[in-house]
Amino acid sequence: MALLNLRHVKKHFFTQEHVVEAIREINFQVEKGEFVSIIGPSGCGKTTVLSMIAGLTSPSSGQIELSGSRVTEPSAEIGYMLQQDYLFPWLTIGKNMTIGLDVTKMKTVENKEYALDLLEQMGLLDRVDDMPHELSGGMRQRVALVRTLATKPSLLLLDEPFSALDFQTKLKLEDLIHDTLKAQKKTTVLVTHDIGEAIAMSDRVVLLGHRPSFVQEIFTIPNELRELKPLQARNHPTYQTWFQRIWKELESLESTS
Amino acid sequence: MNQQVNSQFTKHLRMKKRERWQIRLTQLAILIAFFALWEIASRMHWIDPLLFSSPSSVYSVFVSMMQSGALLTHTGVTLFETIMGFLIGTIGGVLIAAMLWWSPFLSRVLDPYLVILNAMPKVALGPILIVSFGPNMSSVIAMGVLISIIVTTLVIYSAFKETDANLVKVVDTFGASKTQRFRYVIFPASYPAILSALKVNVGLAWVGVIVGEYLVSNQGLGYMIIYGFQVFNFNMVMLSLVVVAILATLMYQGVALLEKQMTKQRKQ
Repeated sequence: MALLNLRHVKKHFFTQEHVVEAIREINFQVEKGEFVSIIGPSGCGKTTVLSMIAGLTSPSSGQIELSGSRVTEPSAEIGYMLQQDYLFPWLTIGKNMTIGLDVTKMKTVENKEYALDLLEQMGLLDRVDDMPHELSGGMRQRVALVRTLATKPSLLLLDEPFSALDFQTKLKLEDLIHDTLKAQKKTTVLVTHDIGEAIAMSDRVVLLGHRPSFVQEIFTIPNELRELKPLQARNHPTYQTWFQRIWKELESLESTS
Repeated sequence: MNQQVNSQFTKHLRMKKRERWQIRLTQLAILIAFFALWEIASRMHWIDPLLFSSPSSVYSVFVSMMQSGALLTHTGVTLFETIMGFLIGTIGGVLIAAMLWWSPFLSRVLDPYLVILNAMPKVALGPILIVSFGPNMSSVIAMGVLISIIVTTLVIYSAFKETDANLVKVVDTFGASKTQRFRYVIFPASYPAILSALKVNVGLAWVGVIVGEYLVSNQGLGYMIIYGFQVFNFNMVMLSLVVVAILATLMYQGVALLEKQMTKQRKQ
């Protein structure tokens, strides 16, 4: 059975004057251990889908199920990484990364050590007592990843986590996050506007159509690309063909609107 | 570093040091000149010594009031009232702001009333305070509180409201309750606003307490001013003003130091 299951998910927003149909119908599953990316034209409701999976907003109709039970509110089961790190400037790195443990009342010695292990994997163990402003953007986003993983979520949601970084940092961080998540066998849903990133990191890519959005197509990335690190995948010959294919699909969406 | 740069650096440091000294000396000179001029003007009858007093006569009143212990009593009373007014006004303001944040319904209902209260010159409510609290110290403290609590509430509440929504989202994704949201994000994020409210409130508490003492009291530095004015003892008025100036400055500097200590760690 799929770990995450979206069935007939629809979403409407209400403004003073109108009812806006944001999401017409979305159906897809994510298997355990899978890495799935959601891409689509800008404003197509990718982040809305992610917010609904996280339990931050609820769908107008339809169901979202995680391990068979319905998602109604945020929980430690689901980790959410935002577009920027949003580390609290008044806390040290060590305290920032365990804020999730504080909130979920899971701050045991064991869990704190687990967070420190993660920080070490990120190569930032020596920065544990630093304040966030002393770290670079890439370092801060790595701390944000530790913060998200510290509560041991079974599903990870990444909302364009690399979009605020410079290109070089982004490529390195893609590799690091890809490896970390694969090693921990985490199930991940990534929202991105970067086709290359989606191909390089994912097992499957879900392409959403224009608002009111729907699933246009689901691409399964071939094994030869999946097995590679994102940076290597970007250099693989088949990468370009996939890029072209998804690019064309996305273009056709943009032009019909 | 080569020799030339080195000597330029020492020269640079010397220049900076000299500049600092010049500023300090000028400041001191102004202070001395002020008191000297005051003394001379008074003795030469350029100004009426009966109305404007003179440093020497202020000093002799200071000595005699110190000996009788009266000055210490007055100062102690005013200091106590000011600190109480300051603390109650600040803490109360933060608590009300927290309540408003907690209940958006309440904040929308109370909005026009807060606007009126904020615009109202609080000193005008003096007589109402005296009949409610009685002609004693609590009226004076109430005046100190009243004058600072509304503006504190408004400033802190807007700081709570303007906390970056993304910081709140961070704890929301972990399923934070409203209490946790306040404790982990809203309150610490509003620290700088709270600290700057403290600084403003020190000044406001002094205003409230001195005015309160004008209206009702038989002790305190404000009372000394009014009493001195009524019995035409302007030496006493001047002495009280000097003491108020010194204490208010010290208290302000104390809070500023506290602010510096507490914000030392967090920069962004």
